[in-house]
Amino acid sequence: MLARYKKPLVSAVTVVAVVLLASLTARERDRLTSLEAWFLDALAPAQRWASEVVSRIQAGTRLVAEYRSLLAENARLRAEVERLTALEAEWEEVLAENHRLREFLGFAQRGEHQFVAAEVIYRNPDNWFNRLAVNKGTLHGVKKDMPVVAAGRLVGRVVRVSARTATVLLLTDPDSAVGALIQSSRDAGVVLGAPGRPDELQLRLFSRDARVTVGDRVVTSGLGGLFPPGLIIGEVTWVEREHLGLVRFAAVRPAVDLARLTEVLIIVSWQPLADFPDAEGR
Amino acid sequence: MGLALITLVLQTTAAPAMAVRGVVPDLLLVLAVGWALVFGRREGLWAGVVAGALQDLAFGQFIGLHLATKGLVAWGAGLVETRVFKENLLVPIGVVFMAAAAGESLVYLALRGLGPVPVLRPVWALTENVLPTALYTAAFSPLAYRIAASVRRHQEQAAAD
Repeated sequence: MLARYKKPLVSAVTVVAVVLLASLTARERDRLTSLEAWFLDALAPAQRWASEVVSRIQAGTRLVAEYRSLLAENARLRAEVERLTALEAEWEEVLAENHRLREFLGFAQRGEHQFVAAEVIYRNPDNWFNRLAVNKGTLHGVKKDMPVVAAGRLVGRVVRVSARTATVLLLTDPDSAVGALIQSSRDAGVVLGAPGRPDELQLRLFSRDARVTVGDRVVTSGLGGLFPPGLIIGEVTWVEREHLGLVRFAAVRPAVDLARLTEVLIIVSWQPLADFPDAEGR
Repeated sequence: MGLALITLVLQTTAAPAMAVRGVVPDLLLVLAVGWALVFGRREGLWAGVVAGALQDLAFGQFIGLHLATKGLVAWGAGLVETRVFKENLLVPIGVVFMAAAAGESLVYLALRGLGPVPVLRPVWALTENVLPTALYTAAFSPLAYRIAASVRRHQEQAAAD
Protein backbone atom coordinates (compact mmCIF):
# COMPACT_ATOMS: atom_id res chain seq x y z
CA MET A 1 0.00 0.00 0.00
CA LEU A 2 2.73 2.43 1.06
CA ALA A 3 4.94 1.37 -1.85
CA ARG A 4 2.14 2.29 -4.26
CA TYR A 5 2.05 5.87 -3.01
CA LYS A 6 5.79 6.20 -2.43
CA LYS A 7 6.58 8.04 -5.67
CA PRO A 8 3.72 10.59 -5.51
CA LEU A 9 4.48 11.12 -1.80
CA VAL A 10 8.18 11.76 -2.39
CA SER A 11 7.31 14.10 -5.30
CA ALA A 12 4.80 16.05 -3.19
CA VAL A 13 7.22 16.39 -0.25
CA THR A 14 9.97 17.55 -2.65
CA VAL A 15 7.70 20.15 -4.25
CA VAL A 16 6.58 21.48 -0.85
CA ALA A 17 10.21 21.62 0.38
CA VAL A 18 11.38 23.49 -2.72
CA VAL A 19 8.49 26.00 -2.56
CA LEU A 20 9.15 26.54 1.15
CA LEU A 21 12.88 27.04 0.60
CA ALA A 22 12.31 29.45 -2.30
CA SER A 23 9.75 31.42 -0.24
CA LEU A 24 12.10 31.66 2.75
CA THR A 25 14.93 32.96 0.59
CA ALA A 26 12.76 35.24 -1.58
CA ARG A 27 13.63 38.34 0.43
CA GLU A 28 17.02 39.79 1.24
CA ARG A 29 18.72 38.01 4.10
CA ASP A 30 21.13 39.56 6.59
CA ARG A 31 23.44 36.58 6.65
CA LEU A 32 24.52 33.80 4.34
CA THR A 33 24.42 30.18 5.42
CA SER A 34 27.90 28.70 5.92
CA LEU A 35 27.36 26.48 2.86
CA GLU A 36 26.64 29.51 0.66
CA ALA A 37 29.60 31.47 2.10
CA TRP A 38 31.96 28.53 1.56
CA PHE A 39 30.65 27.97 -1.98
CA LEU A 40 31.05 31.63 -2.98
CA ASP A 41 34.56 31.91 -1.52
CA ALA A 42 35.67 28.62 -3.08
CA LEU A 43 34.37 29.61 -6.50
CA ALA A 44 35.74 33.17 -6.43
CA PRO A 45 39.30 32.47 -7.73
CA ALA A 46 37.98 30.57 -10.76
CA GLN A 47 35.39 33.26 -11.44
CA ARG A 48 38.02 35.98 -11.16
CA TRP A 49 40.37 34.18 -13.55
CA ALA A 50 37.57 33.51 -16.08
CA SER A 51 36.40 37.10 -15.75
CA GLU A 52 39.89 38.40 -16.55
CA VAL A 53 40.16 36.17 -19.62
CA VAL A 54 36.73 37.32 -20.84
CA SER A 55 37.65 40.99 -20.22
CA ARG A 56 40.86 40.64 -22.24
CA ILE A 57 39.06 38.97 -25.13
CA GLN A 58 36.37 41.66 -25.03
CA ALA A 59 38.96 44.43 -24.92
CA GLY A 60 40.83 42.93 -27.86
CA THR A 61 37.76 42.51 -30.06
CA ARG A 62 36.49 45.97 -29.09
CA LEU A 63 39.83 47.56 -29.97
CA VAL A 64 39.75 46.05 -33.45
CA ALA A 65 36.08 46.88 -34.00
CA GLU A 66 36.24 50.40 -32.65
CA TYR A 67 39.61 51.65 -33.91
CA ARG A 68 38.15 54.49 -35.98
CA SER A 69 35.70 55.62 -33.35
CA LEU A 70 38.54 55.50 -30.78
CA LEU A 71 40.52 57.98 -32.86
CA ALA A 72 37.52 60.34 -32.97
CA GLU A 73 36.89 59.80 -29.26
CA ASN A 74 40.53 60.58 -28.51
CA ALA A 75 40.24 63.95 -30.29
CA ARG A 76 36.99 64.68 -28.49
CA LEU A 77 38.51 63.77 -25.11
CA ARG A 78 41.51 66.03 -25.71
CA ALA A 79 39.14 68.93 -26.29
CA GLU A 80 37.20 67.89 -23.18
CA VAL A 81 40.41 67.85 -21.09
CA GLU A 82 41.19 71.42 -22.19
CA ARG A 83 37.68 72.55 -21.31
CA LEU A 84 37.79 70.79 -17.92
CA THR A 85 41.20 72.24 -17.09
CA ALA A 86 39.72 75.70 -17.49
CA LEU A 87 36.72 74.63 -15.46
CA GLU A 88 38.92 73.24 -12.67
CA ALA A 89 40.35 76.67 -11.88
CA GLU A 90 36.83 78.05 -11.68
CA TRP A 91 35.76 75.10 -9.52
CA GLU A 92 38.59 75.68 -7.04
CA GLU A 93 37.37 79.24 -6.61
CA VAL A 94 33.83 78.03 -5.98
CA LEU A 95 35.07 75.37 -3.54
CA ALA A 96 37.02 77.94 -1.55
CA GLU A 97 33.96 80.17 -1.47
CA ASN A 98 31.77 77.23 -0.44
CA HIS A 99 34.22 76.40 2.37
CA ARG A 100 34.16 79.99 3.63
CA LEU A 101 30.36 80.12 3.53
CA ARG A 102 30.01 76.77 5.32
CA GLU A 103 32.29 77.98 8.10
CA PHE A 104 30.32 81.18 8.24
CA LEU A 105 27.05 79.26 8.58
CA GLY A 106 28.52 76.76 11.05
CA PHE A 107 27.95 73.70 8.81
CA ALA A 108 30.08 70.62 9.40
CA GLN A 109 32.41 69.85 6.51
CA ARG A 110 30.99 67.04 4.42
CA GLY A 111 33.40 64.15 5.01
CA GLU A 112 35.26 62.42 2.20
CA HIS A 113 34.19 58.87 1.67
CA GLN A 114 36.48 55.92 2.24
CA PHE A 115 36.43 53.31 -0.48
CA VAL A 116 37.44 49.72 -1.07
CA ALA A 117 38.23 49.00 -4.71
CA ALA A 118 36.89 45.71 -6.02
CA GLU A 119 36.93 43.77 -9.27
CA VAL A 120 33.79 42.35 -10.83
CA ILE A 121 34.25 38.59 -10.84
CA TYR A 122 30.91 37.38 -12.10
CA ARG A 123 27.37 38.36 -13.00
CA ASN A 124 23.86 37.18 -12.46
CA PRO A 125 23.37 33.98 -14.44
CA ASP A 126 19.81 34.66 -15.62
CA ASN A 127 17.75 37.31 -17.38
CA TRP A 128 15.38 38.15 -14.51
CA PHE A 129 17.74 39.92 -12.11
CA ASN A 130 20.66 42.33 -12.50
CA ARG A 131 23.35 41.63 -9.95
CA LEU A 132 27.07 41.11 -9.93
CA ALA A 133 29.67 39.76 -7.56
CA VAL A 134 32.96 41.41 -6.60
CA ASN A 135 36.15 40.01 -5.08
CA LYS A 136 35.95 41.85 -1.74
CA GLY A 137 34.04 40.72 1.33
CA THR A 138 33.90 40.93 5.12
CA LEU A 139 37.68 40.40 5.32
CA HIS A 140 38.07 43.76 3.55
CA GLY A 141 35.53 45.61 5.67
CA VAL A 142 32.58 45.22 3.31
CA LYS A 143 29.15 45.01 4.92
CA LYS A 144 25.60 44.53 3.69
CA ASP A 145 23.89 47.68 2.34
CA MET A 146 27.11 49.58 1.60
CA PRO A 147 26.74 51.76 -1.52
CA VAL A 148 28.75 50.85 -4.61
CA VAL A 149 29.97 53.42 -7.15
CA ALA A 150 32.09 53.61 -10.28
CA ALA A 151 33.76 56.86 -11.34
CA GLY A 152 31.66 58.70 -8.76
CA ARG A 153 28.41 57.36 -10.21
CA LEU A 154 26.05 55.10 -8.30
CA VAL A 155 26.10 51.44 -9.30
CA GLY A 156 24.00 49.84 -6.54
CA ARG A 157 24.42 48.44 -3.05
CA VAL A 158 25.81 45.33 -1.39
CA VAL A 159 23.14 42.75 -0.59
CA ARG A 160 25.19 39.66 0.27
CA VAL A 161 28.67 39.27 1.72
CA SER A 162 30.92 36.29 2.27
CA ALA A 163 34.52 36.49 3.54
CA ARG A 164 36.01 37.18 0.08
CA THR A 165 33.05 38.13 -2.13
CA ALA A 166 30.10 40.50 -2.12
CA THR A 167 26.96 40.51 -4.25
CA VAL A 168 25.90 43.90 -5.56
CA LEU A 169 22.28 44.67 -6.36
CA LEU A 170 22.54 46.88 -9.44
CA LEU A 171 20.33 49.93 -9.94
CA THR A 172 18.65 48.10 -12.82
CA ASP A 173 17.59 45.10 -10.73
CA PRO A 174 13.79 44.88 -10.31
CA ASP A 175 14.38 44.77 -6.53
CA SER A 176 16.31 48.06 -6.47
CA ALA A 177 14.78 51.32 -5.18
CA VAL A 178 16.85 54.48 -4.57
CA GLY A 179 15.67 57.82 -3.18
CA ALA A 180 16.43 60.41 -5.87
CA LEU A 181 16.25 64.08 -6.83
CA ILE A 182 16.16 65.97 -10.09
CA GLN A 183 19.40 67.91 -9.57
CA SER A 184 18.18 71.17 -11.13
CA SER A 185 14.62 71.39 -9.76
CA ARG A 186 15.21 69.41 -6.48
CA ASP A 187 11.96 67.50 -7.08
CA ALA A 188 12.13 64.22 -5.19
CA GLY A 189 11.20 60.71 -6.20
CA VAL A 190 12.39 57.15 -6.28
CA VAL A 191 14.44 55.41 -8.97
CA LEU A 192 13.41 51.82 -9.58
CA GLY A 193 14.87 49.02 -11.67
CA ALA A 194 12.69 48.49 -14.73
CA PRO A 195 12.05 44.75 -15.11
CA GLY A 196 13.18 43.50 -18.51
CA ARG A 197 15.06 46.72 -19.28
CA PRO A 198 18.71 46.13 -18.36
CA ASP A 199 19.79 49.59 -19.57
CA GLU A 200 16.97 51.75 -18.22
CA LEU A 201 15.61 52.93 -14.87
CA GLN A 202 12.16 54.15 -13.93
CA LEU A 203 11.85 57.41 -12.01
CA ARG A 204 8.66 57.95 -9.99
CA LEU A 205 8.45 61.57 -8.91
CA PHE A 206 6.38 62.19 -5.81
CA SER A 207 4.68 65.30 -7.17
CA ARG A 208 2.55 65.27 -10.33
CA ASP A 209 3.74 68.85 -10.93
CA ALA A 210 7.42 67.95 -10.67
CA ARG A 211 9.62 69.95 -13.05
CA VAL A 212 11.55 67.48 -15.15
CA THR A 213 12.82 67.56 -18.73
CA VAL A 214 14.83 65.24 -20.94
CA GLY A 215 18.54 65.62 -20.17
CA ASP A 216 18.05 66.48 -16.48
CA ARG A 217 20.57 64.88 -14.15
CA VAL A 218 19.22 62.59 -11.41
CA VAL A 219 21.14 62.23 -8.13
CA THR A 220 20.61 60.37 -4.86
CA SER A 221 18.50 62.31 -2.37
CA GLY A 222 19.78 60.59 0.76
CA LEU A 223 16.18 60.02 1.82
CA GLY A 224 15.71 56.58 3.31
CA GLY A 225 19.28 56.60 4.60
CA LEU A 226 20.63 53.81 2.39
CA PHE A 227 22.72 56.04 0.10
CA PRO A 228 24.70 59.25 0.66
CA PRO A 229 23.08 62.27 -1.01
CA GLY A 230 24.44 63.73 -4.24
CA LEU A 231 25.69 60.60 -6.02
CA ILE A 232 24.93 60.75 -9.74
CA ILE A 233 22.39 58.13 -10.83
CA GLY A 234 21.81 59.05 -14.47
CA GLU A 235 20.09 61.28 -16.98
CA VAL A 236 16.40 61.62 -17.86
CA THR A 237 15.72 60.22 -21.34
CA TRP A 238 11.91 60.30 -21.43
CA VAL A 239 9.19 62.10 -19.49
CA GLU A 240 5.57 61.06 -19.24
CA ARG A 241 3.47 63.69 -21.04
CA GLU A 242 0.09 62.93 -19.52
CA HIS A 243 0.29 62.83 -15.76
CA LEU A 244 -3.16 62.42 -14.32
CA GLY A 245 -2.11 60.29 -11.33
CA LEU A 246 -0.55 61.35 -8.06
CA VAL A 247 2.97 60.64 -9.26
CA ARG A 248 4.88 61.49 -12.43
CA PHE A 249 6.98 58.97 -14.35
CA ALA A 250 10.21 59.39 -16.27
CA ALA A 251 12.84 57.08 -17.75
CA VAL A 252 16.47 57.43 -16.68
CA ARG A 253 19.59 56.11 -18.39
CA PRO A 254 22.15 55.05 -15.76
CA ALA A 255 25.32 57.18 -15.73
CA VAL A 256 27.40 53.99 -15.63
CA ASP A 257 27.38 51.32 -18.34
CA LEU A 258 26.44 48.57 -15.92
CA ALA A 259 26.85 45.82 -18.52
CA ARG A 260 30.55 46.61 -18.97
CA LEU A 261 31.66 47.25 -15.40
CA THR A 262 34.94 45.62 -14.48
CA GLU A 263 35.90 47.56 -11.33
CA VAL A 264 33.83 49.29 -8.67
CA LEU A 265 34.37 51.18 -5.42
CA ILE A 266 32.50 50.21 -2.28
CA ILE A 267 31.87 53.13 0.11
CA VAL A 268 32.92 51.50 3.38
CA SER A 269 32.73 54.69 5.44
CA TRP A 270 29.00 55.11 4.80
CA GLN A 271 26.78 53.76 7.53
CA PRO A 272 23.27 53.13 6.21
CA LEU A 273 20.56 54.54 8.47
CA ALA A 274 19.19 51.05 9.20
CA ASP A 275 22.52 50.25 10.94
CA PHE A 276 22.27 53.10 13.44
CA PRO A 277 21.02 52.11 16.89
CA ASP A 278 17.59 53.50 17.64
CA ALA A 279 16.81 55.96 20.40
CA GLU A 280 16.78 53.19 22.99
CA GLY A 281 20.23 52.04 21.93
CA ARG A 282 19.10 48.69 20.49
CA MET B 1 29.53 17.92 -11.22
CA GLY B 2 32.86 19.22 -12.55
CA LEU B 3 31.28 19.98 -15.91
CA ALA B 4 28.41 21.80 -14.15
CA LEU B 5 30.88 23.90 -12.13
CA ILE B 6 32.82 24.85 -15.27
CA THR B 7 29.52 25.74 -16.96
CA LEU B 8 28.51 27.85 -13.95
CA VAL B 9 31.78 29.79 -14.21
CA LEU B 10 31.15 30.31 -17.94
CA GLN B 11 27.51 31.23 -17.28
CA THR B 12 28.47 33.99 -14.85
CA THR B 13 31.49 35.34 -16.74
CA ALA B 14 31.43 34.54 -20.48
CA ALA B 15 27.64 34.40 -21.03
CA PRO B 16 26.97 38.01 -19.85
CA ALA B 17 29.72 39.16 -22.25
CA MET B 18 27.76 37.52 -25.08
CA ALA B 19 24.47 39.23 -24.15
CA VAL B 20 22.40 40.40 -27.10
CA ARG B 21 20.05 43.26 -26.15
CA GLY B 22 20.43 42.20 -22.54
CA VAL B 23 19.53 38.56 -23.20
CA VAL B 24 21.98 36.00 -21.88
CA PRO B 25 21.99 32.34 -23.01
CA ASP B 26 21.31 29.75 -20.30
CA LEU B 27 24.36 27.49 -20.66
CA LEU B 28 23.49 25.50 -17.53
CA LEU B 29 20.16 24.54 -19.04
CA VAL B 30 21.85 23.61 -22.32
CA LEU B 31 24.16 21.29 -20.39
CA ALA B 32 21.32 19.68 -18.41
CA VAL B 33 19.12 19.14 -21.47
CA GLY B 34 22.03 17.91 -23.62
CA TRP B 35 22.84 15.47 -20.82
CA ALA B 36 19.22 14.32 -20.65
CA LEU B 37 19.08 13.73 -24.41
CA VAL B 38 22.16 11.54 -24.31
CA PHE B 39 21.73 9.74 -20.98
CA GLY B 40 17.96 9.72 -20.49
CA ARG B 41 15.44 11.28 -18.11
CA ARG B 42 16.86 10.00 -14.79
CA GLU B 43 20.38 11.28 -15.48
CA GLY B 44 18.83 14.40 -17.00
CA LEU B 45 16.86 15.06 -13.83
CA TRP B 46 20.04 14.92 -11.73
CA ALA B 47 21.99 17.05 -14.20
CA GLY B 48 19.20 19.66 -14.04
CA VAL B 49 19.02 19.53 -10.25
CA VAL B 50 22.81 19.93 -9.86
CA ALA B 51 23.00 22.75 -12.45
CA GLY B 52 20.01 24.54 -10.88
CA ALA B 53 21.34 24.11 -7.34
CA LEU B 54 24.69 25.63 -8.30
CA GLN B 55 22.90 28.54 -9.96
CA ASP B 56 20.74 29.06 -6.86
CA LEU B 57 23.78 28.98 -4.56
CA ALA B 58 25.68 31.44 -6.72
CA PHE B 59 23.13 34.22 -6.21
CA GLY B 60 21.23 33.03 -3.19
CA GLN B 61 17.73 34.39 -3.75
CA PHE B 62 14.77 32.06 -4.33
CA ILE B 63 16.96 29.07 -3.51
CA GLY B 64 15.37 25.97 -5.03
CA LEU B 65 13.74 27.82 -7.91
CA HIS B 66 16.31 26.91 -10.57
CA LEU B 67 16.96 23.55 -8.96
CA ALA B 68 13.28 22.67 -9.47
CA THR B 69 12.75 24.23 -12.90
CA LYS B 70 15.98 22.92 -14.45
CA GLY B 71 15.43 19.48 -12.91
CA LEU B 72 11.90 19.38 -14.29
CA VAL B 73 12.68 20.52 -17.82
CA ALA B 74 15.75 18.28 -18.09
CA TRP B 75 13.64 15.35 -16.93
CA GLY B 76 11.05 16.28 -19.57
CA ALA B 77 13.76 16.51 -22.23
CA GLY B 78 15.01 13.09 -21.16
CA LEU B 79 11.64 11.60 -22.15
CA VAL B 80 12.55 12.45 -25.74
CA GLU B 81 15.74 10.39 -25.49
CA THR B 82 14.00 7.11 -26.24
CA ARG B 83 11.42 8.49 -28.65
CA VAL B 84 13.22 10.44 -31.33
CA PHE B 85 16.14 10.01 -33.65
CA LYS B 86 18.56 12.27 -31.82
CA GLU B 87 21.50 12.04 -34.22
CA ASN B 88 19.79 14.80 -36.19
CA LEU B 89 21.14 18.07 -34.74
CA LEU B 90 17.77 19.75 -35.20
CA VAL B 91 16.42 17.56 -32.41
CA PRO B 92 18.64 18.95 -29.62
CA ILE B 93 18.09 22.47 -30.97
CA GLY B 94 14.30 22.04 -30.90
CA VAL B 95 14.30 20.30 -27.53
CA VAL B 96 16.57 22.89 -25.90
CA PHE B 97 14.39 25.69 -27.32
CA MET B 98 11.24 24.15 -25.85
CA ALA B 99 12.97 23.27 -22.56
CA ALA B 100 14.37 26.80 -22.19
CA ALA B 101 10.99 28.36 -22.99
CA ALA B 102 9.31 26.05 -20.46
CA GLY B 103 12.01 26.69 -17.84
CA GLU B 104 11.89 30.48 -18.20
CA SER B 105 8.07 30.39 -18.11
CA LEU B 106 8.17 28.36 -14.89
CA VAL B 107 10.65 30.81 -13.35
CA TYR B 108 8.38 33.69 -14.37
CA LEU B 109 5.31 32.04 -12.83
CA ALA B 110 7.24 31.24 -9.65
CA LEU B 111 8.51 34.84 -9.38
CA ARG B 112 4.96 36.11 -9.77
CA GLY B 113 3.82 33.76 -7.04
CA LEU B 114 6.69 34.16 -4.60
CA GLY B 115 8.42 37.39 -5.36
CA PRO B 116 8.66 40.73 -3.77
CA VAL B 117 9.93 41.46 -7.29
CA PRO B 118 7.61 43.51 -9.50
CA VAL B 119 7.88 41.23 -12.52
CA LEU B 120 6.91 41.89 -16.10
CA ARG B 121 3.45 41.62 -17.57
CA PRO B 122 2.94 38.16 -19.19
CA VAL B 123 3.12 39.31 -22.84
CA TRP B 124 6.24 41.34 -22.13
CA ALA B 125 7.84 38.49 -20.20
CA LEU B 126 7.17 36.22 -23.16
CA THR B 127 8.40 38.51 -25.92
CA GLU B 128 11.23 40.28 -24.08
CA ASN B 129 12.60 37.45 -21.99
CA VAL B 130 11.21 33.91 -22.40
CA LEU B 131 11.33 33.58 -26.21
CA PRO B 132 14.59 35.52 -26.83
CA THR B 133 16.31 33.52 -24.08
CA ALA B 134 15.00 30.22 -25.47
CA LEU B 135 16.11 31.13 -29.00
CA TYR B 136 19.58 32.24 -27.94
CA THR B 137 20.01 29.26 -25.61
CA ALA B 138 19.00 26.82 -28.37
CA ALA B 139 21.87 28.12 -30.52
CA PHE B 140 24.33 26.55 -28.07
CA SER B 141 22.63 23.15 -27.96
CA PRO B 142 24.67 21.33 -30.69
CA LEU B 143 27.85 22.04 -28.71
CA ALA B 144 26.45 20.78 -25.40
CA TYR B 145 24.89 17.77 -27.08
CA ARG B 146 28.23 16.83 -28.64
CA ILE B 147 30.02 17.22 -25.29
CA ALA B 148 27.49 14.97 -23.56
CA ALA B 149 27.65 12.45 -26.45
CA SER B 150 31.44 12.33 -26.30
CA VAL B 151 31.31 11.75 -22.51
CA ARG B 152 28.97 8.83 -23.19
CA ARG B 153 31.26 7.41 -25.88
CA HIS B 154 34.22 7.56 -23.49
CA GLN B 155 32.17 5.85 -20.78
CA GLU B 156 31.08 3.11 -23.18
CA GLN B 157 34.64 2.63 -24.41
CA ALA B 158 35.92 2.44 -20.85
CA ALA B 159 33.22 -0.12 -20.00
CA ALA B 160 34.09 -2.20 -23.10
CA ASP B 161 37.81 -2.17 -22.22
